[in-house]
Amino acid sequence: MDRRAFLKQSAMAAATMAAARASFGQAAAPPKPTLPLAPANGVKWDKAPCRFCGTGCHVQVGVLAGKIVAIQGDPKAEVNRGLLCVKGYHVGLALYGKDRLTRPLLKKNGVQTPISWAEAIDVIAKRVAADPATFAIYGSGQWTIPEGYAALKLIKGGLGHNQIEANARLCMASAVTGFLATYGVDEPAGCYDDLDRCDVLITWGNNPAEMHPILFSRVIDRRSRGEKVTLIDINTRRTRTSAFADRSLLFKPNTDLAIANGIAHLLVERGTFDKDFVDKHCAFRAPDDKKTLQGKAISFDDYKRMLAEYTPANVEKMSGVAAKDIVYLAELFGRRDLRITSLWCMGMNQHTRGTAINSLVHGVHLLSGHFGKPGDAPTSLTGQPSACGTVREVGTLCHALPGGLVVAKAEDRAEVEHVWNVPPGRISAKVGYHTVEMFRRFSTPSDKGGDIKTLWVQTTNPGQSLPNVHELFEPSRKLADKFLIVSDVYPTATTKDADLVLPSSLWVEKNGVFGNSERRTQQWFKMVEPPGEARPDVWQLLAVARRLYELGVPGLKDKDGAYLFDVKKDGKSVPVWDFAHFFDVNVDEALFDEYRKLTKHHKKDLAPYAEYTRARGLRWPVVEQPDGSWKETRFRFTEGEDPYVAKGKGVQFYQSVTKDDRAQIWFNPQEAPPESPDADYPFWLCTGRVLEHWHTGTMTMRIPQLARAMPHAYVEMSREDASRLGVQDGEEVVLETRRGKIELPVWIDGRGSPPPGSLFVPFFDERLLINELTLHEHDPFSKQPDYKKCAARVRKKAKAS
Amino acid sequence: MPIASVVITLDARATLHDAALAALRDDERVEVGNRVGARVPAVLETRTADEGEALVREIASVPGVLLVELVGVDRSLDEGDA
Repeated sequence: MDRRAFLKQSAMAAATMAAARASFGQAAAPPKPTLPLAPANGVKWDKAPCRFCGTGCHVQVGVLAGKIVAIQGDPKAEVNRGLLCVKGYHVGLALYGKDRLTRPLLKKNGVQTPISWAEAIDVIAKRVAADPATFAIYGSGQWTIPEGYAALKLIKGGLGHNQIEANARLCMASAVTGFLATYGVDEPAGCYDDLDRCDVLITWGNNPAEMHPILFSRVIDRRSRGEKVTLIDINTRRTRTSAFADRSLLFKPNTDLAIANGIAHLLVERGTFDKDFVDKHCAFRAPDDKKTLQGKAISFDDYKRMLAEYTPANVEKMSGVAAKDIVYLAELFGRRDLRITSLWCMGMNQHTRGTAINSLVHGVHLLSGHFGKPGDAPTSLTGQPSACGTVREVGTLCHALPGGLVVAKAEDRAEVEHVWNVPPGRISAKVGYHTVEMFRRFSTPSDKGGDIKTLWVQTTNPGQSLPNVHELFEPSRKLADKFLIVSDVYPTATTKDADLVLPSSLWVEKNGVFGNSERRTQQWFKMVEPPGEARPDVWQLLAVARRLYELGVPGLKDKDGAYLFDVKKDGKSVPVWDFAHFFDVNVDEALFDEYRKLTKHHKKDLAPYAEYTRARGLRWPVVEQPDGSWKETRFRFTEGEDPYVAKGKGVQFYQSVTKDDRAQIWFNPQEAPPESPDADYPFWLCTGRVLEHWHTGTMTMRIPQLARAMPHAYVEMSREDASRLGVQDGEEVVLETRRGKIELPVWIDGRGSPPPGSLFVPFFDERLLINELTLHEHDPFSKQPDYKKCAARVRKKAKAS
Repeated sequence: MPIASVVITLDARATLHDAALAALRDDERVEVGNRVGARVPAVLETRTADEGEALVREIASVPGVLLVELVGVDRSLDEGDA
């Protein structure tokens, strides 16, 4: 058999096994996982989570002669069981774009000029040492856990302030505050197993058919085998997900709170809520005058009274969703014989009322007792591979510390100071600037309050992804005393005018650990060399930290005078800041095992690093068993699943804000958005993603196949609006908001279909930068901006004379 | 010559299901395996990765095909294409 025939036979075997194994949630034992593409053809295989979204699919990466030549869905991975979405076709290619950054570049006389790493590290360290308080780091959910942890420790432990943020602030911060307000602790109680057991799946402003296709296919596959799974799509435009839905409910932007309140109102009014569950496990809460995240306690009667105006008829008036559909939803939630899973992502989070709507959806599940059983869960999804692992769990945010600890609490600071062996008081209690404020201050002259002067961006592209970039990003590039450092793998809208650009290693060019949307921590090892002089972000951080230590910045020493990031091997310190010695020891392991000491406080326990090298991820809390093994947790707060639930409790919300093991069912009123369509700007404008491109397209736009499949941004418009404006499909129009305008082609009856009066534009295209038009108003608790709704107008482009 | 393995989920309705299978078998780049319930394993062999990725999309648009999921892609026969 020749190699080609061998590969085809192996491929068919892999596909056949995947097809059999893909019977998610079925009792029959799946075929024994094997790797059909065996080393016989010289390819060396190893595991890694996919680099793209927050689903956390595991892939097997095939390397031949130092290059990735094959990708296979990992048959041992519970998340994807051997399957990948179409982006998996290209995940290996993401490393091989022709314009990879390969050398540090320092702007000299306005031109980015190659310099050595030593000079680059020195430039950063001297600038930071001269004025540490005005230095900030901005990362993302694409940071690995060790990278994020190192960045956080450098800022909070080394420099003694809290100016660190991550772009997850822009995509899931409202999910965090929703979980905190409801359960007292972040992240979903359920997991992907719920998709195998639910009878009803409700997607709230969510399009998993395109954005989380591997999760969505678990449900579609069940239906294709004859199982009844009712899919309800609640959205502001029709999407690919709508096409699969049994009911697709279109609502007026910003009125999702009315829908959730309408469901709760009927559950209470008709007495179909789960009284036993509520009596045992829940309390009621509403906003207080001081507008705190904790709000104020209210009685059930208060709650009932507050909901009274949300009758089906009123909700129909507010939201545009028919009263009968509100009744239908309430009747579903009122049934005890069904299991209901809710999914959401940016639609609910990028919302000036994001915390409120997150809390309300949790509340509907709690009120109806659709919680704590497999298939009964309110679950938020994330868009980045480690938004949960690095940002939410490590705490790379201006108010946070690792493991759910916060800088505002003295006991939390003391606990972290103890683990870091730094003097009491090293960690500042003063919360830093959230993302919008950080960039506002970076784009404000220093003598006018712009007290962020040096900003180091890693693993993200704020020059494209921030809202209202005209105001928040671009001014900084014209201010002489502002210095922008960007670590990235490709040129981006952010590197374009950066003062210093650092070439980074990507994905399997370095070791890494990610944490996905279902609390699953996933590890991989370096498999290939990065191009040129590209180096891991974590090394860059440790090298700068060491240079600061050498320059005498006091915070870079611990209580005993040792380097803050001292890494030992066989009892001896390893000079990991010297790249020649960086791989003498596994730095990821050292950082991770230090970090995990801080994860027990809020019962987010992680296993030792070594456990993850053997697993396809483990869902926390991961607790050691009497036999020395480590057991993950599928369903939190549920007896028999979660090791922290006391025997006999059934369900126990042990992190309750009220310290009584109760979750909070919130009332939050429907309120007007900060900007609505009017006579001058008559359309709603919504932004989002597309299947082909991941986030700002930095990687996927460099994959020719994906760039050709979706070459540029567009504006989706209803046929009715296009007809009224006299616009043809594909015709260029001028799209304008109060913040700017761009010209882009119209797509009518395209992949998504907005209703009349609404527009949609994807944000992946830096040449057609929709975030020059979006609003930076944000949720008061999560500080997450609202990219999903602002007022816009469209006009035909004037013909050239 | 990238070789990709995929799993294709077909519509349960017999007419659509059969029509989709027939369409897949008509394409010489597609080798269709044995059905496992509503899922059909298949191997795609194309001249370039570009064509392979386009073929995945093409299959997804065949009437009766609900989903196409990737199992693996191997470019080791044409390392330059990777």
